[in-house]
Amino acid sequence: MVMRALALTLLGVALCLAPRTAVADPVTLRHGAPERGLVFQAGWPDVSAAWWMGPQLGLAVEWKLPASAVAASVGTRRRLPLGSGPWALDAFLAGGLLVPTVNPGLAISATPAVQLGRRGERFELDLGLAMPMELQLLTERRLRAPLLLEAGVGGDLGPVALGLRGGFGAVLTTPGTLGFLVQWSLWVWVPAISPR
Amino acid sequence: MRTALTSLLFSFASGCTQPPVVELILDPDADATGQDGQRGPFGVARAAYRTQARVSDSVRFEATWPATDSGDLDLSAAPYPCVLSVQGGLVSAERYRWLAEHMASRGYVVLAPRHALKLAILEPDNASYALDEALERVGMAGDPLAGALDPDGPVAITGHSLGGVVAAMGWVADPRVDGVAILASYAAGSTDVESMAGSPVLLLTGAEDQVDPEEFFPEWERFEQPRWGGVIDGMNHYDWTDDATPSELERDGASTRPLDDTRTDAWRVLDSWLDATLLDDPDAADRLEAGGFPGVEERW
Repeated sequence: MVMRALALTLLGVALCLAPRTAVADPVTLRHGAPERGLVFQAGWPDVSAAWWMGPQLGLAVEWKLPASAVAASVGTRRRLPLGSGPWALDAFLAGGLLVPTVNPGLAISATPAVQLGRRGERFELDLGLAMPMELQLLTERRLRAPLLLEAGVGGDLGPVALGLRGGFGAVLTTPGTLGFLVQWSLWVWVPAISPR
Repeated sequence: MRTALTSLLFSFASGCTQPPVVELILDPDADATGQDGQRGPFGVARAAYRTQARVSDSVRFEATWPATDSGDLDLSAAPYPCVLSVQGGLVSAERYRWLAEHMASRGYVVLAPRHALKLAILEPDNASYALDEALERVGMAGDPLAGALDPDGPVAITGHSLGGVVAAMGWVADPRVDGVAILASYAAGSTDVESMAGSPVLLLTGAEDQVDPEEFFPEWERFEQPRWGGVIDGMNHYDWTDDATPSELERDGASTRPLDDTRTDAWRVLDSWLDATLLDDPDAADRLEAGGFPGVEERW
């Protein structure tokens, strides 16, 4: 109970401190979910929550502050162990719907990602690439295609897991110019409670 | 608790539809001429806007316009030309309000977008998104910007330091932009400024800038005609911003003249360039051609 309260407090603090800009990126579908359970992620520039229903299927909602967009995603992952040690290669794929809210519209999103990571029982770290792409369909046709280099660390803290991730990359928006993106966030994983 | 949450969600979700809060900054002054580096006769008001960008992102920008004593747009000379103002690196956009207020008092609508981490290079197209939104707003009855701009009207872009680098990028990328004024900066090597021959360029820096003006000159040579370059005597890098911090001043050159004097000298050139570029004012074009601005060493 204490750890859940701590996790919710962290989420609340991050919500309050989150900046006034955002991108669409279901970060919780590629970070902070060692197994079935809930993941909350907050930082710069987005906030999201995911429910990993099983080891390979997750649902997520994202809130792009301050009300820049809301999105829902479904994601899956596959793990390829590298030998018998803790190292593994993970592949992620998420897709969903996104609603820009400042100037209302509709977009679809797709996020392929790969991570090379150490997946220990109490400590993990990873390095990866992600492409959280968005294609706006209504009101105008616009594609946003970032390529992010990401790094993350995490570990168990009692019954929950905590982690930190950062990312940097280039963003191509059509029609438009090339920009850049910096991301960081804290994530908290809370195990699912099995019904008795 | 439920009521509070509902209220919070509603306030976020409806943020886009709330009318912007208008702030009157300067009262009109019918005796002000707007000449010789002085303010113009219009009152000045501003409001903050936000627009969708890059699908799920959003851009905040501040619009500053010629106003009546009530803060409403002064329709007597509308529509006005538009100036896009790009903030310098790690410098808040608010520190350039003195530029926007001066220009608005002389009959320009100024749009100043914010950028993530105060680094315009991360989002180099924010000025274009701000212009898109402002042009949408000019057709909306009841909006403070209604009637302020002509959708096909003249537009210039200006930026200081890193903002100058990004302003040059916007000038090249956005065909609506008719000219660029770069303050204490130059264009990135990857920006195809050579393709912009015929589009007016103003290049200004201070003699006491943290970057020796001699280092700017080879970069300025890349710009095609028509171009006008000059060095403001006694001005340093952060004299272009309000409220310079001690750490900024520590690494900057030391100003050797009062701030009001160097800024007035800069305004004489900048005002003439804006009037010539965006208003086709022949007197302003003659002033630029003749040169001899006090306190300014002309490069060309």
